[in-house]
Amino acid sequence: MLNKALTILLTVVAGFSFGQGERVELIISPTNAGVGELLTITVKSTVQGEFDIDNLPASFVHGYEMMSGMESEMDYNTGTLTTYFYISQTGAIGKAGTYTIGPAYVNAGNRTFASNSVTVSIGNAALMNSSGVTASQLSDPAFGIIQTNKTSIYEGEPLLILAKVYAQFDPTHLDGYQPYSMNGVVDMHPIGSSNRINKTEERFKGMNLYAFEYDKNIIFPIGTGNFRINSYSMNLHQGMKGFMLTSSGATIEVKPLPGNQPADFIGAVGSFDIEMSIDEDEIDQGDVFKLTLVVSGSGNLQNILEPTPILPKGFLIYGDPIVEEQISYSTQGAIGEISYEYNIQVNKFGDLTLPATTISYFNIEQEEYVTVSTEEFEIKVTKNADFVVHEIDDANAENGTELIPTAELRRSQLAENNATLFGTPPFWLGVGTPLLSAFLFILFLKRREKSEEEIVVKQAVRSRHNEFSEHYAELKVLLLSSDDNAFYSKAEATLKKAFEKEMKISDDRILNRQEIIAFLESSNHTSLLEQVTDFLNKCEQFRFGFGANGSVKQELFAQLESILKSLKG
Amino acid sequence: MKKLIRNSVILCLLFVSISFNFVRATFDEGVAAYDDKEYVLSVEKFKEVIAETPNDVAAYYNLGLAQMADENFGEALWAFEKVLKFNPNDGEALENSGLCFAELEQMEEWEPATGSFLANVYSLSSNAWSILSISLSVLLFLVVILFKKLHSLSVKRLLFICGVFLTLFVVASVLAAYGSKKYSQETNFAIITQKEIPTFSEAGTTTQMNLSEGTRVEVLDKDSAEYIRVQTYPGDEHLVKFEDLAFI
Repeated sequence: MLNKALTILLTVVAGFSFGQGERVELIISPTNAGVGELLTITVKSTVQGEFDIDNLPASFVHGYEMMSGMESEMDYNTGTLTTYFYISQTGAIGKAGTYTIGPAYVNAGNRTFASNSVTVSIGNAALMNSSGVTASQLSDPAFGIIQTNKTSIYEGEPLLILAKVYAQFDPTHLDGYQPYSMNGVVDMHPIGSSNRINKTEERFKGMNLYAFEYDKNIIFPIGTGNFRINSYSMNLHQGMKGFMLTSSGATIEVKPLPGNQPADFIGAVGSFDIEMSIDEDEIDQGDVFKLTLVVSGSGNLQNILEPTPILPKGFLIYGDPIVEEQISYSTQGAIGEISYEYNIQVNKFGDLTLPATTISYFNIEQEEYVTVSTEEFEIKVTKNADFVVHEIDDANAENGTELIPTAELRRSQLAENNATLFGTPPFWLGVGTPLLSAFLFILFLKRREKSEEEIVVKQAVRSRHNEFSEHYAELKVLLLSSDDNAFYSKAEATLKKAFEKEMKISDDRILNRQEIIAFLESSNHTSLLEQVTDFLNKCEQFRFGFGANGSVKQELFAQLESILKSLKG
Repeated sequence: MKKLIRNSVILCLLFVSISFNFVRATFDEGVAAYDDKEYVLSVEKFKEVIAETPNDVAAYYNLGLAQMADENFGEALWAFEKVLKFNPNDGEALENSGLCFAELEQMEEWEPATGSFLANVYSLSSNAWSILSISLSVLLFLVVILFKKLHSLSVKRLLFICGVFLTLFVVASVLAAYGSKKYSQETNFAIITQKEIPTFSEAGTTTQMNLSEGTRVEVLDKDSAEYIRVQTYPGDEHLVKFEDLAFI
């Protein structure tokens, strides 16, 4: 009957399985579960045909979900495309125990192909504790409670939690579900994939009610203390009619683990075991072998720390281990195994013993730390003459004693005490004084150079002044003499000297007319421009005897004096 | 009055001489105990020397060797780290620290707290850097005077380049003196010398995380007189008990 129920004929489109070998695989997930917990059984085959599974337990109850179809997988290494036909069925086993399910068969024409078998462990159904219900809730058409498998757990221990709904009417569906929430950080994993209403009839507080479970999770609270689970809400329907219900909340106590933790405690809470294996037991000195530690069990497997392999001297671990996890979540927590593969180089030689590695975990039932260990292994290491042994390991191999390579004791040697020169006034004085002196020295030189330049200029101006005075005196003498030509030349030269003095010309050059005009234009003496030009023109003109006489000389001298006066002013 | 001062000076000198000889004798006893493979006694003697003269680098180094021979690798690591605090380039201390760490933490490789560049800088004391700063400063002053006094263009050019480099060296040596002083005087790191110490999420509440022997932690700040916040490589912060740490 059960087999018939599971046997499904696949009449899918034409098969195109050329070039692929016939393979049938049976997959059951999870392989560790509780009574009544939903399992998913999948048969995958490269052959199209009728599917059949052997050895299904008598207590197996089929679920509502069933899928079948075809999928293709590409092997990117070989480029081979493989087509699988599959059928997937959910269900639950109603009795605790260990069951071997399978093999599954695929009948294709006259041929039958068999799959592997899978062993499934079914634990007893968890006894659930319910959150409180008020009289008001009981009088409602429907009410919800939160159920947990424990009310007090240890830190790290898994906690099963679910929403349980009771209704006085026969519910057909629900919507608007707001899940329960928890304060603080939790590691939460759903149990079972179906959120279908699997209702039963139950007697609760003297009332016959419809009941169903919903949103089942396994959680791992992080931290200790009282842990509040807040209520959930949903709209429960019977056909078109709906009732909005809000559940009661629940509180869980999370106790800290006892303080006497062994050194090899890996943070595991539950039930665990460890196994060790090596890939070679006869190697050459200096070679690397693989050591694998496998931690298996149930509890908080996903949160355990890496075990530390115990290695004798001369065994060196290279790099980080390769970690592989096979974990599934059930009502018992995280179940499965984690393997750690280490690459280990052996620097010693001889018949060596690889000691047992131990781990400790906290056993919930015994409420104490339990230590489990692996087996010891013997490794035969052949001496390799070409292998360069580190000094310590070489000595260890020969003497069997520890050697400290730099074990020469030292004579008493006092370091400087904490009183340092840095930051003290003598330090800043020592650093600052030369720097400041250098800076002041540069400033002093700059200033001196500047004053020297000023002196040169002053001397030049004084010299011009003297020259001007001489020219002026000579001009006065020439004014009374008959040498007109000399007078006009001196008059022009006197004016130029006056301008050289005014313009502070420090070198020996003689100004020309253009420079004087330019000076007058650029300075505030623009009014003199006409006078000076006229004076110079006259000097030039009369020097060559055009219209010169005694009165002209007087007039010109007066004009010169006027210009000089204006220049001074 | 003069007599009183004279007697006081003589008494002080006598006291210093006696205490120095006492420390010397204890040091020698530590060496003798180590030679006789009485490592526990040797450890005691070198600890006594350190209590009297906390700047005796050799006492720390010898203490490290004695602890190492007695297989107290966490304690030995602390002693070698102290040696490295005085001289971050001490090759033997570096090597022995690595060996101790390998005995404790076979999964990881020991790394010195100070990188190679800073180790070279801090291998010279703050005083040495300070004196170098002053010397370079004086030299810079002389270079400036010569630069101003000499008239040869090629010499002036050379002096200018020297002046620029000397200025940079003065600044660098002042910074090095500061860094070296800070490194030697500040307590930035600590070592776990016990097999394991608990960590706390807050005062009085332990976490599942324990710190194992030989772990070097960077001291961040003190939460209270009892607890201290530390950081492990590569940056995880923990709250631990003050008394559980051996400060470097």
